[in-house]
Amino acid sequence: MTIRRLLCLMMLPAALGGCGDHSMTQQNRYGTFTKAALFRDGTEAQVPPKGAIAQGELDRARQVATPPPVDMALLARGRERFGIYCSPCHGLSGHGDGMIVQRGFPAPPSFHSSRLRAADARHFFDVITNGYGAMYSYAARVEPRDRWAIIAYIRALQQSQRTDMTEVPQLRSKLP
Amino acid sequence: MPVEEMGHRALPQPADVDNRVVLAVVGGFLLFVAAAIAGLLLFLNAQVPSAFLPRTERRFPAPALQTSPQADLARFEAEQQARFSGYAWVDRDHNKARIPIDQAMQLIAGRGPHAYDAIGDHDAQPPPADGGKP
Repeated sequence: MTIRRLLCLMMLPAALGGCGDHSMTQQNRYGTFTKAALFRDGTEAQVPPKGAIAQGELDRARQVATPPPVDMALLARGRERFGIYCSPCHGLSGHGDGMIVQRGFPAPPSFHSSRLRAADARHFFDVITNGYGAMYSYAARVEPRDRWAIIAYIRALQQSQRTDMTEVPQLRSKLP
Repeated sequence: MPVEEMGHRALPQPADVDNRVVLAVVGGFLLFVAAAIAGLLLFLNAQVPSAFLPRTERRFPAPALQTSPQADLARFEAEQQARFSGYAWVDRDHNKARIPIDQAMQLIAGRGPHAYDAIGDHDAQPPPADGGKP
């Protein structure tokens, strides 16, 4: 008799398993890639309607097309982003000799070469967005506005490394 | 059981095996091995003469240990920052000089709508080998 009671007690947890709410797992819905009579093309896998765009895409496109005005705040932002994303390969001064390059990665071109000093800002933007050579795309990491900020900072680096005497008053007196 | 049968079973092989056949098979095998070795040597001598040269000693590379990566990176970045932290001549003949980055940022910010334009001077030179310290 005692063994029977014990067995009944042991069965009790198994019976409790049937008390759960299965409404989350047993829903009236289509499985992935199954036939669906609800839609005209008969498939559950529906594509977005024509002309649909992702949230924020229009704003992003506007930022890509229109560079923000350059001020010290934007340049400071570009300096910070450059230090994070660009300097490991391009080097802090933009000579293409970052720490990754010291470890054997192919050296990127110097921002102070004649070609890149004369390059259009859009060229830099396209390279950041799409990648170039060994450099992969940074579109997913750097927002369009930050790309422009980095480009403005690259211009400041180029200015810093080669400035004409006429651009800075009393520059000659500060030189050794 | 007859004694003759027991004696026959005790032998490793029947007495009627021809020894000459065994010798011919073994000898043929040895000849084949000798010919293969000779052929291989001839081939190597003709096609891969370096196979007979004494091997050069292979030295193991020294362990590339970096005891303090953070300190190394900080020193490396300090060296790079020195390139745009002060004043220095770049090209005295053409009146070109290096200025601190903060001043360069102010110059760029002061250009207004032309801030993104290419830097006018296109006759830039590659950076000096000494790292360009002022």
